[in-house]
Amino acid sequence: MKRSILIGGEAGRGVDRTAAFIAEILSDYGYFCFVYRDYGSFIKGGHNFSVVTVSSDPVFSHEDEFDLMIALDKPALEKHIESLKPGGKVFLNSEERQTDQNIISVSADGFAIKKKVSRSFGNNIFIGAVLSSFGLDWRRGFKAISGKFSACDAVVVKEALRFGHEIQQGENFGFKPRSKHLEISTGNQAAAKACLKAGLEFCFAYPITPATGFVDALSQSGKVAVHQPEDEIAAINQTLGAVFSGAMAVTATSGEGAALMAESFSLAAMAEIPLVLYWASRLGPSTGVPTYSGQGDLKFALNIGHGEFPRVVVAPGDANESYSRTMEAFYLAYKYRLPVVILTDKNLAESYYNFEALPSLVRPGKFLAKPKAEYKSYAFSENGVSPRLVPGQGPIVRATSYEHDEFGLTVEDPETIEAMNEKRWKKAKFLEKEIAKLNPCRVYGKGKNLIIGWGSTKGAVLDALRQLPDYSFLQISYVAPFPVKETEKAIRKAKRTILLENNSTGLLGRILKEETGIEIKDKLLKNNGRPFTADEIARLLKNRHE
Amino acid sequence: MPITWCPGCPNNIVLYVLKSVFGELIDAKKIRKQDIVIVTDIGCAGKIYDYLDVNAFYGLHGRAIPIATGIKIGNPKLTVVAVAGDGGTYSEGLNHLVSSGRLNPDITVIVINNGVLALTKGQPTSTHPSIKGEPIFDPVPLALASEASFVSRETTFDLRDLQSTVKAAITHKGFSLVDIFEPCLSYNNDGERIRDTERVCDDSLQSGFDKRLRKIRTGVFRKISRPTLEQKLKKKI
Repeated sequence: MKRSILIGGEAGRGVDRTAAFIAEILSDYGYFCFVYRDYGSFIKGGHNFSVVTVSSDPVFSHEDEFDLMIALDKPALEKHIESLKPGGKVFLNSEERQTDQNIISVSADGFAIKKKVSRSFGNNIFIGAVLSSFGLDWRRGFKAISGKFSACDAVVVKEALRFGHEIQQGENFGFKPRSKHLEISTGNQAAAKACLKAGLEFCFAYPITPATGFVDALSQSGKVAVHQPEDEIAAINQTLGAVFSGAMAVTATSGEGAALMAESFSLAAMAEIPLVLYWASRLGPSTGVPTYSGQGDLKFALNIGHGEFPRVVVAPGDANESYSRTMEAFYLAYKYRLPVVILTDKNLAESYYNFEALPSLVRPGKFLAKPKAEYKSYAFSENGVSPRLVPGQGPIVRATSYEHDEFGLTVEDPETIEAMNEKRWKKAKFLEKEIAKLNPCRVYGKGKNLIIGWGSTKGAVLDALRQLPDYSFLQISYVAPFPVKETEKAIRKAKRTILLENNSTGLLGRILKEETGIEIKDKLLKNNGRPFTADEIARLLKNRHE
Repeated sequence: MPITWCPGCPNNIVLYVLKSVFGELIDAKKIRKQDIVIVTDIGCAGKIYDYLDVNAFYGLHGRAIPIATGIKIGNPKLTVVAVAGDGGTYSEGLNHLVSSGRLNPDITVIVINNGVLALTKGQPTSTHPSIKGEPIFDPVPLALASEASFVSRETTFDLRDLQSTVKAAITHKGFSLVDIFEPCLSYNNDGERIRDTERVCDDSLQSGFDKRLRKIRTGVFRKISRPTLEQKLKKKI
């Protein structure tokens, strides 16, 4: 069973918070939830909405039609009423009684004024009404979110929940009770949790949507020192400096900030300084549509930085993977002394998923060597990785953007240039083997036709597979190094293949062709800032192949 | 490493001064050699990376300051000195000077200011004395306006002053700027102008030039004490 709730209203009115509270409470009851957040570039005003999808089975995407609608203002009602399912109900923040009996008017604003609290407190009335629609007790619901309020505010919140619970009457959805508590987390928050687990000490980042949520989560943890420097260029160079000095650090940005970081990304490769770049894409090109999503940065992430060097680009597909892949990113960057991109996008970074920090396949660390008197910062080795020391341990430690010998001293002779290029590229072979053990790609479902995708589209595709018994899904998570054998095997078995991406030209398809020679001609592409929904995928595939 | 600066290049004086100051501080047990890190820009100034026998990071054009800041934040026990040219401090990456002055990481920035981008064969920078009558950029008031806690200027013509100021800058707790005027023997050989300086004797002067006498001012323009960036970051967690 699945039910969808839309919450709409002006920016600054608590749309996002209300949706998160509903998801948090229902997840606490053990229902599976997914929250999609749709907002423009406003601080106050405009129209934002969130969609909470609630299901008795795991759910990873939102629906286009709604069973319940919380309209915090009239424009929200007008904008979304067409998408209300037959028999659906609307809770409208208004004093006026509505002629349509499916629309229940409650003055949440009036409540807030009477209680002398900010308007968003009134939203809790609607949360109470939603709980009642699910046949749930508001008191227990309050417990799930009680930690977020002061004792004084809690009194008002409880009163609002009770009031809301009473106004919603009639039958409830009849969800079967579940008792297993589930967590919720955005992709950003999940990645931040992995950073803490990995032992992160510093984050250097310049604010940018949709990466800011990741930085905020680190800052709020109280365990990571977060510094906001003058620009993205300073952020990445400070990160490299901090890692060189022996700390564990991260930087985070979106495509535009990454463009500014490109020169230093190449520096990380040449100086062989472990770099983890958390890259949450938004819709480009240029400023594009900053609060909406896209998968248009894939080739950029694979090519960022001048010159040739090995790198890792890993793209998680949901919050759980955001956690596990971030753990792997730290492990690989520090073990192999090279730059690693965690490539995500707004849909994954800012949507709420049910989340569980599953045991990691790797153990991240700083991978520091024991100090020796005779030390070479760039010593040749079997796998191309030189033992890493940091300043202060005794031996002289060097890092350099210039081509260098084993000591890190500047060279220009052809023999050393060749040897050093070879040394850096040696890592690639070992990386490939390492990544093969980390499920670099995975097939979901048993259908003979294969959907191929990466990143945040995973959620909608998995939800769509329930309606598409003839289809399975190949999710490619490591894009560099590319899992050639594994993808070839999956593609060869398929009767029909179709590429699905949130971009205009099918970037993964182009990479797949470059890496395997296989061309995927059939493409399902969407690039208007909005994610695919499961129904949309199912509909489009059925139309196409029937 | 053999020195590849032009014969007689005054960069050798900066190199000598850094070696001497590090030596003095190590001998006096103020710092341990293994805790010194230099961060360099590229170009002629960057070559100093190969000539000093200490921990070193050869960075990117204009980015020595953020790299040095990151190193100091990552391990506050280290003594971090950035060496860059005027091109890499007052042109590319100028914003880092402004922000670091304000935020006060405990790093020292040594600017070898010869008015040219020498290694690309002598294109003028903003501090070149004679570009089509355009005014010369003066980093002193900018550093002061950026609230840098230690602002100074010296030339390579007065070794004693240069050495004592560099030492004071390195031992200063907070962001220190040492702007060092020197001629470029190949592309901007204006030693006559640089040699004729006026010593700053009080901290009220807000300009690095005496415009009336057409003289370069040298000395310490400001030295104040305030909390460093790395101290503040440590308090936050």
